[in-house]
Amino acid sequence: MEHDLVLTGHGVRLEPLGVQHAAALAPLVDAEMWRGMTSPLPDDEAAMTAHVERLVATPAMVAFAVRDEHTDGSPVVGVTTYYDVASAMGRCEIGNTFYGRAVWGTHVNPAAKLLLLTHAFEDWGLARVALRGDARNARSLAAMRKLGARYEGTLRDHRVSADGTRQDTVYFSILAAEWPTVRDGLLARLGDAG
Amino acid sequence: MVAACSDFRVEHDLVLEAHGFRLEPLAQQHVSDLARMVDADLWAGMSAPLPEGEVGMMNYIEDSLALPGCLPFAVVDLVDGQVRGSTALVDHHPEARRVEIGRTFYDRAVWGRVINPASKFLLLQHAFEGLGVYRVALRADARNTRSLGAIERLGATREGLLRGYRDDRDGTRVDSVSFSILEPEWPEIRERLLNRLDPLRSIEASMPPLASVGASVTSEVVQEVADALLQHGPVPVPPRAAARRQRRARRRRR
Repeated sequence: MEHDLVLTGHGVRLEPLGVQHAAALAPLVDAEMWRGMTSPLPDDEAAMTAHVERLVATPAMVAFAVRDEHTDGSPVVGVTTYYDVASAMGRCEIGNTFYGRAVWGTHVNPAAKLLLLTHAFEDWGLARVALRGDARNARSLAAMRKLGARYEGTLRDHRVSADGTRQDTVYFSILAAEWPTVRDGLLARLGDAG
Repeated sequence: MVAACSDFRVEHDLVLEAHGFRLEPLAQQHVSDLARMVDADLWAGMSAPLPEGEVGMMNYIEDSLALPGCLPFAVVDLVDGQVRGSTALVDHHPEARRVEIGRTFYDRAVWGRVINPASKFLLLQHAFEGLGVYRVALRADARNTRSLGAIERLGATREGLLRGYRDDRDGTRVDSVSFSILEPEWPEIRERLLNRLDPLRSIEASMPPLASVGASVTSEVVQEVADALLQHGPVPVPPRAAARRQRRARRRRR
């Protein structure tokens, strides 16, 4: 859905995703990294524009372009979203995330997670933030474990992946009581004094 | 940030009917009957806040109609024409071929009887055979042993525990158990439901076939029938069973 939320800090800026970001995003993706996503690979500008439009139009989804502020020009380096935002139910999910390979292993993902989770728990006052991933994507699962999220179960044949096959979705979550520990972990990774 | 839910209000016209019940599109005409049957205890497992009175139920019905990917129903008992509850197919993602059954509540007066298996049969049949989904999800509060038991009795597979999924009345968070049924599992689950809905069905299936219309009843046939009845135990004959048998007899004559 349309929104005007901007989150900045720790070397990243999350701004409302729009079609103006499509040109910068298209070159960042490749088939290998897109395997666990549930939409076709958007590797040209037209396909990426369609992908962005779909995210922006999805109800209860808050989509962001992610800029790397530690690099000159603050380039757009990826996308992340809140989705299934149900504030009356005290919960939301974070997902539909991808970053260009150049920023894998840098501050970008932990910084974005820190901003998203801080806003969810401390500004929205949510009780639960969930994250899901493709059961085959070991890197993604490792990242969720490293975050301190807890595994809750596996949804069988839940998603149709980019290659058209049905795959399992693994389900992780962080509860409000667990957030301080998760936050401290992220801050330590980012090298902040706290 | 404001979500424009009203943009997605969709009325559907799907009616599902079998085994003594009709699922018809949930509408404001159902508000009095549904409001009357609801109290805080009955609503305990539901995701939505307790609808208070008819105004609350009107809002609940409007919210149901406005939920994207939701097909809400009122459940009507065909024998007496009474509205006995509500249920829905929710979160339908056609491209992912999945849907969830939820937003279910029934009048206390019919708890433990056939309304739930009948409704589940109709919804699952429509999901797999009408919508053509591959996966149907179901959820229940971790503390709602009645609902959990009902889902397990269906034969759904438990997949996980969603922690702190929603608020309880007293402000504590409650966990939700998630289940699913996949398309290859539907034929067997369908059989189980049909056997529950028609206690005579599994007995008839195990009865020896008549050799011809004019076959005489030999002592051997009598013994086989007696054995089949003994195997399945005494058959309770609730009032509606008689009506169902009459309807089956009418269908056979066609």
